Amino acid sequence: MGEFVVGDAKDIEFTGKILDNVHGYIYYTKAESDIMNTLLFKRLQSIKQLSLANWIFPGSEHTRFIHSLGVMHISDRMAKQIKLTEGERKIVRLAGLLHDIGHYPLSHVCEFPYKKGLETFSDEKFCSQVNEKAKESIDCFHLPIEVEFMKTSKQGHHESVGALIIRNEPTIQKIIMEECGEEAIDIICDMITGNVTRNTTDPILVQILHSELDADGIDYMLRDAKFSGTSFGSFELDLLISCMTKSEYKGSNVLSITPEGISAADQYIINKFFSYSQVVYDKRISAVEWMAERVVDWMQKNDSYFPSKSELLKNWISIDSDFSKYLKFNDNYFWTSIKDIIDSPVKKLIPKYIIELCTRLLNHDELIYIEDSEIRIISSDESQIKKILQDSMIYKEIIQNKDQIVIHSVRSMTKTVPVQLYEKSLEKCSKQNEPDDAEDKEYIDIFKEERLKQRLMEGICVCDDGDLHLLCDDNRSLMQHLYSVNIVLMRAFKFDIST
Amino acid sequence: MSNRYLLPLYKKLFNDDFNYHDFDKRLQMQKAIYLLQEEGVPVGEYGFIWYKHGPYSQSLLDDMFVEKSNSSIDIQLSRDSELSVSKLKDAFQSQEADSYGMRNWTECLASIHYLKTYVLSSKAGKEEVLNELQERKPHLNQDDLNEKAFDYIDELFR
Repeated sequence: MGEFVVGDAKDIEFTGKILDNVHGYIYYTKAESDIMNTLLFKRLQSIKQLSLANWIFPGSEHTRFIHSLGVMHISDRMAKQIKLTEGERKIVRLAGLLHDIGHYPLSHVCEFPYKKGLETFSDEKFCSQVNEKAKESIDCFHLPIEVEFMKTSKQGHHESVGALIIRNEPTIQKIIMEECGEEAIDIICDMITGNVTRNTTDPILVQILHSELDADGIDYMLRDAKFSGTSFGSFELDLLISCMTKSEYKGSNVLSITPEGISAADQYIINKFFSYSQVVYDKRISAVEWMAERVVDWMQKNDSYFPSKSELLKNWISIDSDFSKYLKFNDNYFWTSIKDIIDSPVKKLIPKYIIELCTRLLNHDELIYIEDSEIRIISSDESQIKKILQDSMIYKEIIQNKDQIVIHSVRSMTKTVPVQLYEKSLEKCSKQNEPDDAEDKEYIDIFKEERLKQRLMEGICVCDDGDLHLLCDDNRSLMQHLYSVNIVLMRAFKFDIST
Repeated sequence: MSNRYLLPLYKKLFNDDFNYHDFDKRLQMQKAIYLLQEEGVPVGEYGFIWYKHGPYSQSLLDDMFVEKSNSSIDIQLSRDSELSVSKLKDAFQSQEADSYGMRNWTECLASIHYLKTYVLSSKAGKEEVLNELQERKPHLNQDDLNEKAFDYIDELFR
């Protein structure tokens, strides 16, 4: 196994505490306090964790700032449980604290267009084009088996933006290096972006922030439930953490749980599924977020009001930048931008649908849901889901409706499938590769091992007497039966810009 | 799955049609999509890992397989994406590609990026990265071209 020597072995010394509604007192060190006092970190106080969910769940006013402190707290509890060294714990704590420093205004709502680069639609055919896209995704409906795990965040993703900030901002760099040593910059960035391939980064640290069992998910589940007022996010936190352990698979460290933690892990995954189906995919939230995403997409593609991706990454967060523009890039920036669009002297040049969406957002005027149009399916059967969607009235009228838009969402219980199914999927892919020679065939085996290892790193892994397997391969886990369950939603909303 | 961007992007970058049955073209598609994804062009969400010929994604191969009998469509890229594609095309169509051969050149560019970004310390300089490349890929043995490839990657991702 690779030797990872990181951080200073000095004891962690707390210098202060903050009272948090979810975890009680959260203690912090001098270095952590110095980071919390930077303007880049304070910016997170102006970014709501659940973007526009407070329109529907008014208690959801919590921010990325307090969530980041929560992730630091949970990361450290996990690090202590799996017996990391003091030096490693310092790194884990700082990575937890900094993991969201690159978040966009309104969290994932503004991030989505930067990540996905949504299609641009014309003014005249806006609804038809949106609906054609929805129809296409229903016609090609497919529940794929994921073969690739531990993917690193790509450019434009908030985690990748966060790593860029850490690499370019001298004050934060200095604090990290003084507290944990020079190597810690790479390790923290790897933990944030999910990179398990660097020679100097122990993959177990990455898994604390980047897996189905990560500190980020644990904190947001508890926090979102507490603030939204629902109970879907609660689970046996103490039991889950107390069952975490460090295991080894083919020379790499893997975060896992002992069999005693299986029911708590099941409860965690099931409640995460409910949290998405009941809060994140609430029909009113979906509609409001869709409106905001459309506007942001138009703004960033035209490099007006919002920066284009290259402007944001190359000029706002570059090594020569003073970060002055980025510091203002928060929720308020979004609301000011849409107000500026409405007040623009060249408003006539702006697409009508953008003006309509901005006006509605400013007036808290949601799109009107078409009564009884919702299709909600919970199933593992791909052809059954497709049939229900295609037999529905909204699908049949999807192209004719010029004054309605259709929003379609899918979420799976877990990304992992039982190992036999997974291996079959890998073999199918390998056959397509038509290896040229014996050397290629040998590589396929090495490649398969690497994929199997990364699958264990990303999923919730059970360590039973040295045997490592995922929850979906454990006959004591509900995931053995529920791994393939998906929620599929389709709804129609009125959107008329003809007048 | 399918990805309708693959065929038109290949054509744009290599001035040639993609052919699934041609190993070199599959390899070139792998390296091109890897580098585009790293440039921030939303071409999919592929998880690349190190393989015999450098960064490789199995899901991408799957998508190539699905697309193999489709014909290329016209695509409208955003200004940002268009710029990234054009920069990568310049790197691919440079005179070094003629000397190394397109397959080796694209493999060299993508591998240098992967080693520099995901494997070695961020402090690693040109020499260290190229030594690692040589160790892992003895067939990429033209030092001057490897150095040029490093400079292209440095410029593309500055």
